[in-house]
Amino acid sequence: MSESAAILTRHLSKSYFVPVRKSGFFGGLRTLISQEKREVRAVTDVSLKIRPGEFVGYIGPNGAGKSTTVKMLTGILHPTSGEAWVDGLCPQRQRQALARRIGVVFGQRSQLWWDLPTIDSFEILSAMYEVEPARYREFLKEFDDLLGLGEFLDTPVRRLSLGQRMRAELAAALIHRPPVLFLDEPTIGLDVVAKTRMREFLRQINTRHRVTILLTTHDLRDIEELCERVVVINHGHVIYDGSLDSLRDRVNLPTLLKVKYSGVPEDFRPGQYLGPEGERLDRPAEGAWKIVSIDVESRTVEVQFDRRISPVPAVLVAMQSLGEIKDISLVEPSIEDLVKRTLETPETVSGD
Amino acid sequence: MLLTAPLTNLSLKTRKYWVLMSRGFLQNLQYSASHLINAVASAVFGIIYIYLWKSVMPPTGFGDYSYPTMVYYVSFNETTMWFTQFGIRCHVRIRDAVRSGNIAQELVRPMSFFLYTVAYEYGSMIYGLIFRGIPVGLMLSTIGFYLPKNPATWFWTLLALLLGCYIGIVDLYLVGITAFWTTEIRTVYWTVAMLSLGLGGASMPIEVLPAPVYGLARWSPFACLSFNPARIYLELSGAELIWPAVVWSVVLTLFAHRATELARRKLEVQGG
Amino acid sequence: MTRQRPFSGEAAHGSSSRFLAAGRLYWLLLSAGVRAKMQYKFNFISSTLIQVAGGLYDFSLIAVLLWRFKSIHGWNIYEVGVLYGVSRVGYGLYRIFGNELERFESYIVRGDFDSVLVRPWPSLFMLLSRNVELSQISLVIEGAGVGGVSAMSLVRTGALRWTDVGWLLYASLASACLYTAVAIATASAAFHIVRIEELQVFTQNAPSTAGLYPLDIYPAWLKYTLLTVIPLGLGNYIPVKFLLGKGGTWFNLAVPALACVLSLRVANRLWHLGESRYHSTGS
Repeated sequence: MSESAAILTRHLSKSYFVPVRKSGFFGGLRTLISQEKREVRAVTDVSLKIRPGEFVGYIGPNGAGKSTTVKMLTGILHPTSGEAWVDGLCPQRQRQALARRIGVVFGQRSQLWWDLPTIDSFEILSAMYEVEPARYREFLKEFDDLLGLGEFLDTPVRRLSLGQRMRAELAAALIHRPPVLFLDEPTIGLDVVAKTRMREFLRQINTRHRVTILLTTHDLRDIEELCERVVVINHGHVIYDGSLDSLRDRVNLPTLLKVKYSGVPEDFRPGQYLGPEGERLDRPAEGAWKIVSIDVESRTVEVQFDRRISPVPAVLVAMQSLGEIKDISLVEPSIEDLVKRTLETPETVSGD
Repeated sequence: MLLTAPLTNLSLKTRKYWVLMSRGFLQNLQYSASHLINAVASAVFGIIYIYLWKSVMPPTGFGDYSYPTMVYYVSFNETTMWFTQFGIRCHVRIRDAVRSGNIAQELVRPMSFFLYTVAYEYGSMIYGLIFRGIPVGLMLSTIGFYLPKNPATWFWTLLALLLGCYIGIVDLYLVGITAFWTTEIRTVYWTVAMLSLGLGGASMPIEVLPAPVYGLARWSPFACLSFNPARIYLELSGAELIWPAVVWSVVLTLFAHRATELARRKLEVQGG
Repeated sequence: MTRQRPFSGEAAHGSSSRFLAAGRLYWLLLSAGVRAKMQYKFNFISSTLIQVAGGLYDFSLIAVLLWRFKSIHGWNIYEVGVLYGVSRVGYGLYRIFGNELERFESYIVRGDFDSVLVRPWPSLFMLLSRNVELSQISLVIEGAGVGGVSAMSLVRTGALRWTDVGWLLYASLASACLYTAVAIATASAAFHIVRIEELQVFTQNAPSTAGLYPLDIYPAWLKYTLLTVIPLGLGNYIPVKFLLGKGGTWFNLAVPALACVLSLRVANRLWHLGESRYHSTGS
């Protein structure tokens, strides 16, 4: 165990057996009786060292083993093999003690009392975590400043907007001042404004109080704006651990630009490439952008390019030379693209 | 051609209700395992009642009922309750459809909403008889289950049960329809459910009740659910006990049609 | 940006104040549950009334039988009423405070048990304090009504002493404990087999119905099941039988307390077994 690690895992693995489902007549009964089991390896050999105050993004496709890892670190599940420490405690043996030192937010699940004013949830939780009354008042004041809790403290949770509710959920997870915070999709479903606000808050918590944060998300923007470090997991294996920038460098993720013209330039064809001066090429070349699709009806052209080589403004200028632009939108790559590309690149796991 | 056309038309019309009925049946089939376990549990209730009767019955019996007859009575009813009483869900479906607003679409379907609901329910009740009722009966047969020798008894019992099931469904259909006027149908439901069990004679022959209550109960539609079929099956009464069920089926059908009409009008006034 | 004091968590208090903290927390959670329910007053009142009516209906069935046939295995209507009352009050208390056990299957099916496990208290305590089903007070009202009227009649005829009413209350509380123990044991099965609703019918619903009547009326296997594996009869039948002078000794009055201690220990053990299985498999 190391003093300098907020979260430390060594060869953490989790596999479990699920009964093989029978279908058809009496399917349920036959499943019950049959002993046929299938092994599911949810997490394999995950070794991580996260220092106090780090903000780490933990990403991967659905079913990759993200939440299984988080469940092992919070003491919900016990590992099949390997070890874990969180804030110096073993989640498996010291679950209740650990609970006082971690905060958990599951984006899809509420820990607030639905029918009661928001303040009541805070009061209950402060009793649950045995927070001194003076410290609790301090908490309320600080989080009112930070999150603007005051505006909805007396509103029943069920009447809060999603943005307000997520702010309340976060505050609820931090009421006992945990040094480690686990966030599972905290921005899911939020609109752009609420997302921005949530990210700003997370940044403040992280820097002000040196809270170590492990964030799982499907939104690469969350990672981009918050995490200095990203861990990518796929099929239970860690396939990347390092900064987001070096991950981008390695996998060369293309950015997608959608441009709507007042009239589509005539000789555009999908599969063609566009050179830096707007010239058309039939095969890929250094610094060329791929034309992914052309929709004549909506007069929209989509091009793919590498942001490291071609900055967005340069691409825009070239596109503008081809016709009058009505509208543009930039589509960032998804986690799934990222993982796919990471797997395709030869050198996988890197140190930090 | 000209002659067969209306016939095909007719068979097409009935076919859709048949399809609905089998869907009601098949829908339940996926839970067969848990229903079988449930049946064993239900049998325990049957056993409790049988022994309760055993302890209260005077050695001379009670009215028409000797001790063995009473065992038969309980085991028959614990079995058929799964056909005529337990598991009818149409009131819940109607209430949910009214709450969600889906009812508007259901009412404009090119078939009778009433028949559509009844057909689906019938299918799932037949399922209830086969996968819940009959297993309960088989288990209770270790204590006692009467099997009449006379084929006519079987015929009249079957008819009484089919009508009983129909009356049970229409009762709760009417409960469901009240959802058009009130949001909460629980009170009405509980009233009907208690009357069905108590006046229906599911747990005890209604002759046990005080005389005025018995007088009322025996002519109520509830007696057609359990009491009348049981008396026919145990050969304590003859086919004449079919008549109340026939009359009530007709009366309740008329009621249901009228109620559906009123509900439809109410919906139109509100504009869907 | 200003860096403030790093967060360092809240320490647990010493063991004696921890007990107090648990009490305070439980009280806070239960009152929160009641306040939440009171948001839907009409719903609460109507469901309570329906349940009282349903309960009285249940008793009216026995009442009709007793009115017609005078006694159940030598127990007259008042004696059966006392037994019925004790059982019903005990069951009602369990349903009020143990309702989350009743719906525990959904915790496992929907994964809500995870939220219980990230709390700094034992999972069973966290679970039981999550909700209080106040509308089940109907069972207590109905049981106390039937039991009270019956006991009064017996006191008037001298079949029961005034002081015995205290023992009846004690038997009710013991019954509540035993129902809870059985429910904990049954809920523990959900960790292994997930679906327990059918099992609950066997271990909870059917036995609680059976326990409303004197156990002597049942065949031996059923009677002894209710005195051993599913020991509900030890809380109501055994003490009431002695109090009504139908056999037994003073030991009959000690049985409920002993049974509670023993069965709660067994239930707690089963719960921990189940929980450790949950830790290793998830759901």
